[in-house]
Amino acid sequence: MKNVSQIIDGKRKIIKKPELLAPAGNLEKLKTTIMYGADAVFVGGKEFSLRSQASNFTIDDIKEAVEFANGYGAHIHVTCNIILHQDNLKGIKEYLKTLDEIGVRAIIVADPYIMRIAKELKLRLEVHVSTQLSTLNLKAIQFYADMGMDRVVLGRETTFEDLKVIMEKTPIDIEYFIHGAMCIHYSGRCMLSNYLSRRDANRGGCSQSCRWYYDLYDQGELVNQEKDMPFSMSSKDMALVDHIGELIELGVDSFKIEGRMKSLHYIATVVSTYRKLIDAYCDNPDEFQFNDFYRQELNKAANRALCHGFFYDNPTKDEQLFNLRDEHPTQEFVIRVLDYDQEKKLAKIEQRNYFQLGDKVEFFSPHHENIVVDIHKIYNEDMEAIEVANHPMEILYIEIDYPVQSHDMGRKV
Amino acid sequence: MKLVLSLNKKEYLYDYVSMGIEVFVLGGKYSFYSPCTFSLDEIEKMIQEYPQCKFYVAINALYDQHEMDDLEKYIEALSNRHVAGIIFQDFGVLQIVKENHYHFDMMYSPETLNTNACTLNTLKDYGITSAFLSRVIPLEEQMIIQKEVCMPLMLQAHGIEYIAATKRALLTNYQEASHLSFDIEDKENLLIQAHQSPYQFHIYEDSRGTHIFSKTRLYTLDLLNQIHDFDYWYIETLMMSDEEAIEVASLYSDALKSFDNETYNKDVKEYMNLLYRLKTPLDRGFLFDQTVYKLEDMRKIDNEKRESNH
Repeated sequence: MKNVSQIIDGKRKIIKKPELLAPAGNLEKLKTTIMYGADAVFVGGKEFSLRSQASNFTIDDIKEAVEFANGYGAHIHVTCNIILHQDNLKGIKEYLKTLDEIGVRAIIVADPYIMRIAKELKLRLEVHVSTQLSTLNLKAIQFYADMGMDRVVLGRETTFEDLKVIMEKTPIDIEYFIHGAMCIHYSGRCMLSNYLSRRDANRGGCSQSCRWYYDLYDQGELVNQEKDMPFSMSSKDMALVDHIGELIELGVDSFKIEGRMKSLHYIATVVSTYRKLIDAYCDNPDEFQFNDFYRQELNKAANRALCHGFFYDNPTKDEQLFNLRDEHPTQEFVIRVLDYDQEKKLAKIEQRNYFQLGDKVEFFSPHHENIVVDIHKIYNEDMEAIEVANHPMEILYIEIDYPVQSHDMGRKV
Repeated sequence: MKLVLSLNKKEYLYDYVSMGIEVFVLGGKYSFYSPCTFSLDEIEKMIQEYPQCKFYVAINALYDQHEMDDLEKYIEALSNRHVAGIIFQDFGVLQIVKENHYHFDMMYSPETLNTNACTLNTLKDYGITSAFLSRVIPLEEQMIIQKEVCMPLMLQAHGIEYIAATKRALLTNYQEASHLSFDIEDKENLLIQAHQSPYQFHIYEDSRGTHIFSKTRLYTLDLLNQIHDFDYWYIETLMMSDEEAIEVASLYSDALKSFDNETYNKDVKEYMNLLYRLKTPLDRGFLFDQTVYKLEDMRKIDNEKRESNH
């Protein structure tokens, strides 16, 4: 068991803070993710990565990402987590060498062949075992440790009770999912997409066929008529926001947030919330009181209902979504702050969604508490007063007394 | 090439052995799915009664940490009973076998992951001794893998195909949420069909969660000329009636003998006629099809299809 805390000046403090690891689908999201408090960001390359629909990174993008991350003391992990087929074997060694040379901290791998060559090449980067391998026990972790792996990303099916035992004896680092969407089936072992859409789930093409609606037949008779609740295999998203303290005390090495295809607003909100929560707990764990603010923050960005996944035990009906109408709208992301003129009390912004005079907008940031302001003056780039902001990505100015900062975001209340 | 069968009933073992089948996969306490579950005593008795046969036990689930102590004892018990091999997908199982220096043939069968030769050759160095190839790769690729891999390989010959599995009780959860009436215990008669899709899948629940399999049976009875270099040819009897299992085993067994006697090319038509008479839904799976890696590939395939339709 790792020693996670120490008495400093008469007060217990957490000395082993977990890494907060978050996803990014493009450079803009990556930079935001780091600015909003991620210690590390995982991205997909153009090759050998799942989530082929996410706008994956070129080598030049990854290089820029590493340089940006270095400036914040953060790290870049690159997913190389496809299951290789015969025709995917070419070029992997050169690709790994390049990632190593440009300073990528870790690769996330699902195929043992890639694990081996990454070690044989004696690269500096760490090799992490992907959740696609659904690792749930210490013996399997030992197997990967014997292969020279540096970290295992546990399967989402791992309960807290099992995690406690694992953390007592694990020979290598453990990464645990704390937030995001969940596969309904064992990751890496689901072929629904392959059978229903010919898209290979293990090579980044998952069509999420589990979330489709299905007819159910019993002895040839249709069970669920049109009027009935549809049968679907969809999980609510996981959010362990109210268990972060317990996970920190176990010494979990990395907390993973899922969602490379999620929006800028979503990533910023989720990362910022967990950053504040982890920091607050680590600063004074014995007097930390969980505050519902954190959950409320997450709800502002979550478009699917949240649950605890497998944290307690097997999920029940309450952790599943049987009807897509269960999804709920999020607070709309309308403003990204580019600059603020303290003297004129004028914020230069980028419009992200429609808003107008009279709207209430809540600004959030890694640097200050949330603030809600009334929009009472909007100007276009020629400083002409306008009433509505209805052109996506248009550069505008708004009057605001509170000194917002570059990269703050505003969402309609 | 040897025929392998997942044993559906111990009473039929004699019949299968009489047909010339010598390798069997047995369901046990820790099997993920199997047509029948046998106790340790039953397994021991079969091994004693049929010393000429090779018995594998399916320990083919993904195991939670709290199961591992008992699982380790179970594997020790199998070793004491001289079980020939273990079919597994959790590397925790392999680790237990390695740490205890047991002498099982460790057949790696992760359903979806055995899709290239380099990975299997890598895993050979880490303790696997044979492997069951993924069913979602084309036959052409399976044959390339067979040539490049230095260990015995198993190919599914016949039977329903694994689609997905979860620890969750999907049917129980749905029944509780919808209040609809259906028999969750009715393993063989529950099917799901996605809207807008022609495919039906078996779905059932047990103590390990929910399992989804194809309704159609993969068949390779007429492909022996292409696949005879594989080491093991596996018949999955899950969801088969007793009669179907016996008939299918008999047909594949005869086909193999006929191949060895060099009369297969003449006999295969008759074997296929007999297979069709069983009136079970048949399918080629992905043997002559492929999944796509990138969305551009998908668009390319769609365009090709569109052009060929014009």
